[in-house]
Amino acid sequence: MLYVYAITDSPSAPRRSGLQGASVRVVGERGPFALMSEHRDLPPQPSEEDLWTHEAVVEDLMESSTVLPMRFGTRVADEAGLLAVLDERRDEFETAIERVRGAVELGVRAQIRTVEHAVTVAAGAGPGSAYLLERAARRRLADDTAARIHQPLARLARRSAARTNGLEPGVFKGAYLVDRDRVEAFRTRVSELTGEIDGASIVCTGPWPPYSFSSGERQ
Amino acid sequence: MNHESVERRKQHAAAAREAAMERAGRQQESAAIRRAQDHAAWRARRDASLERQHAGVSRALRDRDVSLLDLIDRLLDGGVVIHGDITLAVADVDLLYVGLRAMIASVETIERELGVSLSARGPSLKASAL
Repeated sequence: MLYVYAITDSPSAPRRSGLQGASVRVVGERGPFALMSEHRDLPPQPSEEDLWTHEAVVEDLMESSTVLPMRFGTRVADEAGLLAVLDERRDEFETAIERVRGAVELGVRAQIRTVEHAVTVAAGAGPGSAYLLERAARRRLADDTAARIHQPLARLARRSAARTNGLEPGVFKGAYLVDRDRVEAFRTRVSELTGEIDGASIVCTGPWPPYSFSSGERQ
Repeated sequence: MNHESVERRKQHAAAAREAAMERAGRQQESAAIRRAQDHAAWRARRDASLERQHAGVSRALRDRDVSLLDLIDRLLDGGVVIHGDITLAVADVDLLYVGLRAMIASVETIERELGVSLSARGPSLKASAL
């Protein structure tokens, strides 16, 4: 069984070893290539260490080439199967590689607190409507704040993907595909926003391999 | 042999020994001072380094834990998917999350502190599932 880490434009393998210390190899005839390690069996329950190993292998490769990271847990039966996938989806992979070339992914999380803001509700509403109106107003406030975080950051990025959580208003998560030479400018903008926007704590993580921008269907 | 010159040579030798001893004494003294200075400098460096390490450790832990949330989000929800070949099928997802539960519990404190959330869309991590 082969465990797959990434699709890449370069036939060079990373120096570090993969899951369970297995050596990482590159397969593919003319590119794109796939980065994999061979295993007799892998434990059904991945550990935190496995997650970091997968990440480290991809990050190592990312330094010297353009990568499309695989979702964690991607396995194929054998090399022939992997070559078939590379062949069938060559166009898609090539397009995605060009899309992310020269860029990294940065993650932004924000917690927006709306309880500290006074929200006015139309006078004369009954207690039930007043409750719902207030909830709606807070929801709008959270959405507005999320937009104030997302829009200036999206302008610094090649692509972006923002999402708020329906179950938990006030939680904002964004992923940004940022040119390597704009990473510092992006980070600076994030810390500026932390000062500009009341009641929001903003955390920026990365650079990550472009997990959120590797798959055509997610765009 | 001239008795006088033997005597003088002895005196010279004694004077030279004395001078040598004095020099050695001075050297020992200055070596001791240097050692004390080195030791003080070393202790200052060590204290500074320990302080940096402590600061580094707590910062690194926090960065790592927040990064872990992002890592989980990305590795389990992002990236290229090879349809039909992914082993972590829907039925296995619960199993995976049970395995991750202990680790996530330790992150909850950080989550509260930094105001980040584990919740993701879709069949991903939700507070209710934990």
